[in-house]
Amino acid sequence: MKRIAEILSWLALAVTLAPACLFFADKLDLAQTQVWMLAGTALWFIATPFWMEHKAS
Amino acid sequence: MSDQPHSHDPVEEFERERVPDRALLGLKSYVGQFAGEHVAGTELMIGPLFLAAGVSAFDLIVGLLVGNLLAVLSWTLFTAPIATRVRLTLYFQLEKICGRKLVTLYNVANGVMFTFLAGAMITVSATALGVWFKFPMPGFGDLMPNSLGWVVAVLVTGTLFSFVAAYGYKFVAEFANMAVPWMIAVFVAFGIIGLRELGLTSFGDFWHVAQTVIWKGGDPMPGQVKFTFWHVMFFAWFCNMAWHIGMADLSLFRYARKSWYGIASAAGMFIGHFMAWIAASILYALQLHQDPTNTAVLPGPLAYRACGIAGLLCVIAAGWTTANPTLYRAGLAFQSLVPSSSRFRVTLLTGLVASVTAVFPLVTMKLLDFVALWGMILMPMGAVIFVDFWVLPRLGLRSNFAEATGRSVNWAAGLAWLLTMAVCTALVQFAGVQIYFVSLPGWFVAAILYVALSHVFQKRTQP
Repeated sequence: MKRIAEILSWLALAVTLAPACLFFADKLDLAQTQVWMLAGTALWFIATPFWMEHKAS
Repeated sequence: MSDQPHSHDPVEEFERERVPDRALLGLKSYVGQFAGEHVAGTELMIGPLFLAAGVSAFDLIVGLLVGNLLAVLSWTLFTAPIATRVRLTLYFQLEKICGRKLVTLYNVANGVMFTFLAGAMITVSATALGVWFKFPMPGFGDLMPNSLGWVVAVLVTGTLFSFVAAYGYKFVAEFANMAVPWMIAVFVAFGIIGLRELGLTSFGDFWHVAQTVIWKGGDPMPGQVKFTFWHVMFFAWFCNMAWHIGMADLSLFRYARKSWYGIASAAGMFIGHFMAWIAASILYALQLHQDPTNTAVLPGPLAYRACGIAGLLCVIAAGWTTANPTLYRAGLAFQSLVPSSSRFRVTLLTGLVASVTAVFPLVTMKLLDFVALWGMILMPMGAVIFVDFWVLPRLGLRSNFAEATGRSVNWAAGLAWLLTMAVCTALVQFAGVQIYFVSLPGWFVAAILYVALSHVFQKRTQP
């Protein structure tokens, strides 16, 4: 389960960042880019708590 | 920036003893901690303020590269070597040198600066609410609030932050750790989207666009100091001066296995104080490109324009996750005045004061000056620690004088601190030295004063 969550987190980071690159390459418009970034953000905050080590003091 | 306090002390223990070998940490943990700490809400203000200061592309890029390199070297060559030898917290080390009462005064100075900084972070987060609720927000250079909506948004944001800092510090610290990789990704996206919107279609043209569209140089905006290469370099070097040359990160590096782990600070400097500042600056350039009359430096609208709701969430998270440890540290600093007082109440009260300061965007609009001032105020104590550790024993003088003599105030350290601040203030007020530069001569003034005064006081007093 943790392993799946970790993979989803890294996928979420890609979904957050890749739309900006695709926008730069004229493959997405700005509205689409922002929707995909929001999706990546949501996935990151759903998946990451399942695996990220709690290191904070 | 760290422009912020470090919330990343690995564990809250060994406060009055040497860190044992079993508790030492490796390089990797320092890289992660620095990378996380220096992507803060205030980065979204600093980048635009560089642009408002009329900086040119070369001065900004090269100034940041050199200044951040000097900051990394300061951590590596000043802070970490002492930290890994004494392995004590800053406060305990200072107490040994300066005495308990002087440390308390230092704590209060630190606490006041933390409070204002937390206020700036609350201001940054509140600008995101302005996008949702569409109330008027302060314009560029405004020092007073300009709408009831702004006042309410700041006070609500600040009150929420204060309660969380008082109640749930640990929860937000964990959330901050989790948010860091995502925030870094969003900052990178700010830059990429901003560049494309500014007309860049190939990264090969970056330098041309940077020089002719983004950082064109020329006159600064009204009320701003013109920034040259030297301003950028010194700002990047000294914006965390309290932490490296000021030695606040003794508390952090006391856990480091090796002193060269100071180079881990490069992760924070070149992600937060290079990439993030440049990305934020690009967003402001985009705003000016689209509407030259809109000079407001408001991170919320800047981020929303590029990245939509994800951008707004980044602004809120960046402000919240850094305001939280800032308020916590400020609370601890003030609590040291009355150790029996409730940390909860002190933190809450500190947060409410920070919220009131946040209503007035004075600190936020003058953030570059504020950060330089913070470094100037705390830097002399770093010089005192440096000299006490490396120089005094070689001159036949005694280190840790307060501990050796049982004094609550080491006047050599106290006077070195106060006189250095007086000299620096005089240099700024009467000699035309700008505040961004004054801490460099100030360090040497503090060091020389501490040696001379130690000679006087120690010869008069037999421990």
